[in-house]
This record gives sequence, structure tokens and C-alpha cells, in this order.
Amino acid sequence: MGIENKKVDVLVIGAGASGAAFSWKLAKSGASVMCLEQGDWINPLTDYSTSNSDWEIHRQTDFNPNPNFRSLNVDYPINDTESPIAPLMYNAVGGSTIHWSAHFPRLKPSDFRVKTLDDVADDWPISYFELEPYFDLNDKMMGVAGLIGDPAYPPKTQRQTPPVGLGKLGDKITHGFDKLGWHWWPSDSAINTLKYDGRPGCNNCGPCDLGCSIKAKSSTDVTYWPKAIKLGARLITNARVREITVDSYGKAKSAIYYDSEGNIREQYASMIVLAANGIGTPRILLNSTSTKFPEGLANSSGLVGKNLMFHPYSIVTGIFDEDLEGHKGPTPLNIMSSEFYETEHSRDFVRGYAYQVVRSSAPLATALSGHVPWGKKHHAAFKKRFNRTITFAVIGEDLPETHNKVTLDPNLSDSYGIPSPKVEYRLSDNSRKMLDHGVGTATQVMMAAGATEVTHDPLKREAGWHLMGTTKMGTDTKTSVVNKYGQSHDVDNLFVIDGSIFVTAGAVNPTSTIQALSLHIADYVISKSK
Amino acid sequence: MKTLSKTNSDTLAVIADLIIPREGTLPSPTDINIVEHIDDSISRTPRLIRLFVEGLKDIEGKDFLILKEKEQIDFLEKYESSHNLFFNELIRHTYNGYYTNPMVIKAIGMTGLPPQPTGYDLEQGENFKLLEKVRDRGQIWRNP
Repeated sequence: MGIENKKVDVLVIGAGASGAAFSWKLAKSGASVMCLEQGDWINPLTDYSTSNSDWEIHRQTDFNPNPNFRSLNVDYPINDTESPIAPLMYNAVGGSTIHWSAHFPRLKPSDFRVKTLDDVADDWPISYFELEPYFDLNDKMMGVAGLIGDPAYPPKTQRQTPPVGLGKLGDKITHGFDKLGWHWWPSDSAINTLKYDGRPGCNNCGPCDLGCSIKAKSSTDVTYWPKAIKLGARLITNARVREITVDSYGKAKSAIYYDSEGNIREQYASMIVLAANGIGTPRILLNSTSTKFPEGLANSSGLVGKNLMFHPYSIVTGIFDEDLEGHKGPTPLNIMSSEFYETEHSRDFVRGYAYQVVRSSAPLATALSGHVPWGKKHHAAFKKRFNRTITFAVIGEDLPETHNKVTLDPNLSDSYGIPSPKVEYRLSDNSRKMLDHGVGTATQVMMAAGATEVTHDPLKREAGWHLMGTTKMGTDTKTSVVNKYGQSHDVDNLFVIDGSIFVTAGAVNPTSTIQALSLHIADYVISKSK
Repeated sequence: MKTLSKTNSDTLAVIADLIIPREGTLPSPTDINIVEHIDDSISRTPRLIRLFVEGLKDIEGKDFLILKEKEQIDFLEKYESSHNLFFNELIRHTYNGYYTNPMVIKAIGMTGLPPQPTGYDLEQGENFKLLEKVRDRGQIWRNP
């Protein structure tokens, strides 16, 4: 099958958040590690647009978070016509940490025990406290800005740099929380606010989502990867994996991929580790059919691709009658409120939600917000909003449901003919009630802070940043795909380490937990190989 | 011009200045050469070339340029409803060019420079002191 490469100990597929952490840890242990990444390296100094006057337009084109709009050669299309939320991702070394806003909260202890506590979904086969040392190690590797003492979390170790500044806008909104007596805290951010680990502190330029040209934002191309490569890990870019093959015993044998010139190559490995995100990973597994695994690799449970969870977002925007200098500082202000995070039985939904506070939109985004008409009222409407808005992203816990799923689209493929994923998703009644509650309470905070007007979007479509649940972890081989070490129940030398293995979603950004899990799994793999 | 004819350009200039009228110190779109910007940005995408050339030709065929300003605005309001796809692209490209122009960015109160490499000075903020009250409420995480 094509050009055969020399066998390696560990083959990782995907160089994003989890693949980078795992590759570093394995390379440090002395294993021969190779990583295949669909995208390429990005040069922060030359490839990001934020030093050009047209920087905002890049959100619509080559830096659009939606691969269907971005349509770069390294992307694959996704059929999302049957989902009210569009999946978002980035294909490059660093994966979606390239365009993320670097929110870095951990899931909370209760998130791992939702069955026991609230009789919904399933408990995780691992606890917050088992993961705690890996959270700490990952924080050191990534560099986290924040403040210890948050009563919404168990105590944490000292953060690497101080929290992101509040600025005038942060002062304004925190008065609202204070008036109501509700929880708020400067949430962890994977952003250096001071020099750390050879990278500079943030200069508060704003648009983290367009990539950080000074490397203050901790995308894994500037954190884990340089260290992993120094330790001997090999990273092959523009390597598009088509399928994983198995030997006659049903063990993972190799990955077949297209290289940068379109040649088909076969990479043999003793162990294969999937880190291609909650859509890319089930896509590869479902494309890897064989006589032993006719329904897709590692899919005896039938659950590969099922239980897809996003975090559904409602967006609440308050307009204030003063200039809040909302363009200064990282767009994600990284204030988070956990006031409504835990289950409260008097409400008409179970589990809970958080708010993230977002600074004002930049000029073009303000104009294109849908609230600034053309014609004679244009300038007044623009002035009313520019630098004068504060936005809450209400992020709700989405519980797993098997009808929310990733399958292979029979009519859609990427430029090499590899079948593309199709996403089918419906917002549950519980999630709808949760978000409606969040819109109501967020509006209260805005008004308490002095907003003159509050608008909201009940369900943001371009918000599928968090892709989880599609190869669920568990102890029962009939109701899960992998065990607590990300190891396939069906194929013992096949592991999954990305958000696909989440049992439930929590109501915070998943990256910190994804990386802690990948380091935990790496430790298991190392201990077993000794 | 890469794509648009002289007539297309004249029509687009009038429309752009009605979409974002000149006001106070804020320039009009044509003051900042919006037509060249739009011509350049649509010229990379065949779908947009078709949409703009055919759409402008359609508008020109309705004697748009000889109408009075009030009549042109009325025309465009109706056209927005009947030709939503093209009109949305007209607005998007006009806003794109206008709100990424350094002269405009300066006129709305910013430095006129892109975010990097200088960034901004951000006040740390005074309200970290309010966190004492949040702390004093005690643990709110649920211990399983």
C-alpha cells in the first residue's frame, strides 16, 4: 500500500491541544514518536493578519473558524445542514488552539459525577482529583494567567502569570455582579500576561481568535511542540490520514495517509493515538472499515460518532452610554461567573451554565453585527455600539444524546476523496430551558451594571468550538468506546485522547481538561511499556 | 479596475455613498476609494464577480444614475428586499472596505493602526478588590 515508512513506537494523529501534550510526554519518556498533522506550520510573525489594516476581513476568509467557509486546501468540508450549531475547527500545527480565545477553565468536580449527583447521563470513570496533578503539569507547560482563591473551584496551585486586566469595561460589568451579590472571577486564560517560558506578555491587542503574532497566547505550536521536537518527536505536516489498518489479530497496524505531494504512504506503529478532535476522530474510525470491523474501527458498541456534544451558546449583549474602551485587551475578558453552574432543583432544568464576559467588538464586527443599518441612520447606530457593548456568552452544559451524531456523508468528500463527516444535532429541551434561564439572569447583570439596552441571540450558530463525546469513555464495553485511559475496548493498541472521550461536557471550555486527560493517558502508556 | 467597467464603477460609487453617507469628520466611502477596494476583493471569487457585474448591470438598466438622491434611496430599499443576496454582499463589501481603512479607523477614535505590533495599554482595573466579597461567600463548588 503506497510508500511504506519505518515503524515507530507511537503514532499520533493530530497536532492540536491533545496531540501536542501527549507527544511531548511520550518523547520525554524516550519513545519514538511520530505525529501526522493534516495542516501545516503557521509562522506567527508572517502568517497572522493582525499587523495589517484589513485584519478583520480575515475572519470572513482564510481565518474563518468554520472550515466550510475557510475552504483552505488543508480543510475538509462538513455537512452541517442538519445542525443548528456549526462545527468550528482549525487545521494546522497547534490545531484549534491557533484560533481559540485561550479560555482555560477546568471542568469542576461535579462534572465528573453527574449520574451520582443528578441522575443524568453517566459518571466519568475518572475524577477531578485524579486529574488534578495533570491539570497542574499542563498549566505549567501552557502558561496560565489567573488568580487563585476562586470559591467555585477546589484550591489550585499558583497561576503562572497574573490575571488578564479588567480595564474600564471589566470594572463596569463587575459592578453589576457585585450589586447582585453573584459570583464572578477572573477565569484561567492560556495567555502570558507577563513574560513566561521564553514568550512575552500580552500587549492587549485584542483579537486572540486571529492568532497571536507575538506568541503571548499559548497555542501548542509555541508551547509543547518546540519542546517535543527537541526531545525527538517527529512531526509530519500536510499528512492527511485516510484510515487506520489492522492486522490479522485485530490490532492497529498502520495509518494510511496522503503526504504533501498527494502520495499515499503507510506508517506502521506499535500504537496509534487519535487526537483529531470530536469530529475528525470518529471520521477516521468510521472510514477505517475491515472484515474484522465492518462498522468502523473500535465500534463494536456502535457508539463511534454518537453522543456528539457542543456547548450551546446564547449571546447576551448590553449597550452602555459611555466609551468602555472595549477594544483594549484580549477579546475574551476571561471573567467567568459560576453562579448558576451547579444543579438547583427548584429550576426547570438539570445541571447548569456559566457566563463568559467578552469585550466590545472591533469596528468591522460592530458594523456587521446586524444592528447597524445602511443609510442615514448608519453612523448613529454604529456610534451607539462601538466600544460601548459588553457581551456575555452563556455556555450551557449539553448532555449526551445518541441522536446527536457524526456519520460519514455519502455524497461529500475532501479533495483526496476521503468521505467527509455529516453532523446531526438537535438542541434538547433541557438545554433550551437552561439557556433561556441564562439569558434572563445575564440580562439582570447587564441592567445592574447600567446597560441602557440588552439584546440577545438565543442560540449562536457559529459557535461549535467544542467537539465532544463521540468516542465516549467508560467501563462498560457495551455503552462506551474507550476506557479511562482512552484505550479502545476493541483494539488494545489504539487510543483516543481528544475531546471525543468526554462522557459529559460540563459548562466550561474543554481544552484544559482535554490536555490533562492526554497527559494522564500518556502516563498510563509509559507505565505499561516499562 | 480588475472586474468592474466604468459604468459599473460609477453606479457602485453612488450606491456606496448612500450605504454609508459622509458625516462630520467621517469620510464617505468614495473618499477612501471604496470602489477600487470592492473591485479588488470580488475579483478573486467567480461567484462574486457574477453577482456584482450582473447586479450592477440590472440596477443600471433601471436608470438608477439619473434618479434624484431620495429616489435612489427608495429604489435601494426596495431592491434590498427583492435582491437580498446581492444587496447583502454590497453592504458587506462596503463595510469591509470602510471599516478597515486607516483614515476611517482614526476618525472613529482609534489610533488608525492595526492591533499589532503596538497593542494597547490596558488599565488593570480597580475592581479586583471586590473579589474579597466573592471569597467571603465561601465554597460554591459541589463536592461529589
